[in-house]
Amino acid sequence: MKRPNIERALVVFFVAGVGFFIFAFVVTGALPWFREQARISGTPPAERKLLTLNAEQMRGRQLYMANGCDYCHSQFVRPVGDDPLRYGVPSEAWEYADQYPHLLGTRRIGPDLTREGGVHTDDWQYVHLYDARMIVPWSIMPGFSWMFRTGPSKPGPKAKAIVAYLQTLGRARRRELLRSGELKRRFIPGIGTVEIYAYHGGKLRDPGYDRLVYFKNGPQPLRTVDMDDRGRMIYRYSCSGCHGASGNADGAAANYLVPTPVRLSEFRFDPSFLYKVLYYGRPGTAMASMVHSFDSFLSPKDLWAVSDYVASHGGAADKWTSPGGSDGAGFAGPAGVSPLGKAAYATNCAACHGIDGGGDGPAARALVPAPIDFRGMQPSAAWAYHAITEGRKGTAMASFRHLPEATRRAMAAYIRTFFKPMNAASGSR
Amino acid sequence: MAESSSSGVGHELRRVATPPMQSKGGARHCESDSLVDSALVRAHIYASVFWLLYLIVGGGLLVALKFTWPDFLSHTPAFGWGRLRYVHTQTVAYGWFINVFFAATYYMVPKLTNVRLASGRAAWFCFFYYNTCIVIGTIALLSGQNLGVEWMEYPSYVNIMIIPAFVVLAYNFFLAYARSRERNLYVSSWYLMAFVAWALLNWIMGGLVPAYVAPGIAGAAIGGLFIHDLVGLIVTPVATATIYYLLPVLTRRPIYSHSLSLLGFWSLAFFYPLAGVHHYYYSPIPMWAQYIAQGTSVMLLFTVYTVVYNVYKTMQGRWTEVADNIPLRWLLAGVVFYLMVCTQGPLQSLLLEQPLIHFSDWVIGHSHMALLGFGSFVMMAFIHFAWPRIGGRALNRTLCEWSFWLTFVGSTWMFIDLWIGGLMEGYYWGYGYPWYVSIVALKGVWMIRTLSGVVVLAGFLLIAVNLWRSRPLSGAAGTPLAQAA
Repeated sequence: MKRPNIERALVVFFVAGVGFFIFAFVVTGALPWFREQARISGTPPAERKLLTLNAEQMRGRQLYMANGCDYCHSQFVRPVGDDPLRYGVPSEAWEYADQYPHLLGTRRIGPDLTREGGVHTDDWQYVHLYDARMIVPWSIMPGFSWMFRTGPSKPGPKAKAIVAYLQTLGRARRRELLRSGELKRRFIPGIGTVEIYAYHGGKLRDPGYDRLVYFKNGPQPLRTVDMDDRGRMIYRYSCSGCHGASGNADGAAANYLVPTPVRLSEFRFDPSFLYKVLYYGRPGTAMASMVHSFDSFLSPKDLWAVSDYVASHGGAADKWTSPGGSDGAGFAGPAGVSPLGKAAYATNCAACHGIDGGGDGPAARALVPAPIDFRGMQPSAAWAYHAITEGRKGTAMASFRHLPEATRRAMAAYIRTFFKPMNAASGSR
Repeated sequence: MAESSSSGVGHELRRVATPPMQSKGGARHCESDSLVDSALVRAHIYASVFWLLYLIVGGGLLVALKFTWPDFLSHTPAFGWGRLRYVHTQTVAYGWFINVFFAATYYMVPKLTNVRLASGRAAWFCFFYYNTCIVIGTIALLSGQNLGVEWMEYPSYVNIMIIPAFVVLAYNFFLAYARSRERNLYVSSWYLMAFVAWALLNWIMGGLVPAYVAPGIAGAAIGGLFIHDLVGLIVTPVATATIYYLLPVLTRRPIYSHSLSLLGFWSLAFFYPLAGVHHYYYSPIPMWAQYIAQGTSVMLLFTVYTVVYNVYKTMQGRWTEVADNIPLRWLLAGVVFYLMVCTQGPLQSLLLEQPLIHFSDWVIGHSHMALLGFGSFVMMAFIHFAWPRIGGRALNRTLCEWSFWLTFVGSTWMFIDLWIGGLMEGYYWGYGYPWYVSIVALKGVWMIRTLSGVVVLAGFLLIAVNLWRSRPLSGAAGTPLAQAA
């Protein structure tokens, strides 16, 4: 008996159901696959090795998937839109060579993490993972406190694994860029050794650096009326988690970071130096670049707004909005060059901080974080004395308690003579 | 295009009983058709509505609340944002949709072929087995097991466990069509037949390839294929089959053009699977694959317009029936959403717009319109239509009205809110604002989204209440469970 029904049903099943499906699989699945595999096989072994994760990092990747990190944080940099400016060079296929499965993601509630490795220090990552709002007040990332033993400074194995994984992201590409010369290492006194995009396809310039050159050679940018408000707002959203609302380094995250955040209220700043710090960050500290750390991508104008805001409030605790800051004492303290201070500085400090206090002593390059540039930031006498006496944990700054108190006071006073804010009118120090 | 009367719709109309819709009396039963295993269809409807409510309460709503209160419940690993979000999407696709698709196919296929299900026993086993798999998968997701492939997050052992359920479905399908004496294959059958193949193949591809076979970018191309096929080759075919099945029955008039519907079917079958790469535009996937995806995405306009034009011409002159006919109203609302979502889809899949809207809430609004607007509304039409025909009593008209309007208003509100949010994000990012601007500015948008979700939930809760109020009374009408098995 003729049964056209099943015949047609089978035609539909095999032609439309199976046939077209396999056709699509071959055209848009298998062909790109072979194409990419051919391209990936040309990856240099050194970079290939950096793509391989160890057991702990693999565990971190599993946790990253299990807890849905990949849903809010994509992992590919597109060659369009704001991506290259925010996240650097566009992703290439070989960066994903051995990922089963890929974690490209389809949504960005938080920023892309393709190049997250090395942008923030481990202690920053721990605090951020424990409760992101401690460090980034506006964040809506859920806290993962259950991965920690008692607090942000006591990570459990899961938190360690996730952070270990995060620190691998983008490291292979960074190496490749350094090798090809697209990324260049440069030591900047007072900042540290930073990596700068040299050039990319004639398109990706280094906007912040260009701006810095512009500032040095030309007039200051137009100060629009909203600059101070803008600076205050950005300070609140992007800085206060560590440096505190009043610049006293008493933000929620401050106690868990090593070295502790700088007490802005105890310093007087040169805005152009602050701009450099904001632009490059301070390698080796939780102070990441505010341009290339993807959670706080600030435009040059915003960088200037924050620089001006901090510079205009620094060095005088009473200028900060909330009370309870330090007394700001010591700014009126003994200034000037004393032979004792000068000699002690030359003996004890100049090797790192440089003979002119520029943070460019012979040993400076080897230190992470790099020594402070006293030309760009001037501590209060009290704070300088405190730092000389106690040292700074997490840095190469040792305690000089063994020196007589008079010597330490003279050193503190001498240090403060280096401060040379940039003369905006002439563009020179 | 007047040949339609000879192409299978006529016998549809003859066969499918069309009792008058809901009366306010409530106690009147419709004769259940001996072809359909009513208890089985009811069981799948109960399960699907349960998963629907669960995915909103235990997934979507909690996830939405966490946008406003990020620490809400986050100190328990199982209730972390990411895990709940996976529970939300997985339950949408496999808890709610596949269950209601089982129900719809167990209802439609016997009617379309005029033979009973080949193995009711296997189908009942499949019901319990499949839902057990979903329970296990949900627990696995909450406990932190995850395959990591988007929309395929159940761990592999659950994915493998689910395969026999699809095989049972395919078995019942093939025997039904093999035993059928019908001369014509109605367009709904085409869609369902292809759906069986696509469900099985896509399931295997999604669960196997990106996680184990194709690494990195190659896996991404196939993952994009999987995500797109899930919507286009699993949800869309069954929903379209349901549209083509219900429309002639509800309007008591054959569809306008059978040829046009087949043209739509073939264009869907050919173009849809090719468009998958558009989920990863501007990724390192080769550009030519992305251009193919762009071209075929635009071609989907053709597919949706064939369906919508057919519906439009069939409805011509009968639009007023929407006022009284609740299933027809759900169906047409679903078709309107289909028209919107599949016009928006091809247009937004142009590479031109991707820098603006990709990664943003716009896409979330789009996918909610596809699955909540189009898919869920059409399947709600099926549930409202079928319930009195599978042993349930007439549904309460007032509750029907409330549930429709709450769901309709809530979901439309959600889509528009998410599109606005997506555009805001896209512009803030594109103009190079610091990231916090896109978070702080969207707080209001996300709060409104949560509220819209509450409204949608209220609508669906009323449907559950309505179904339960009108459940078959024991010993009254309907096929008793024992007889069915």
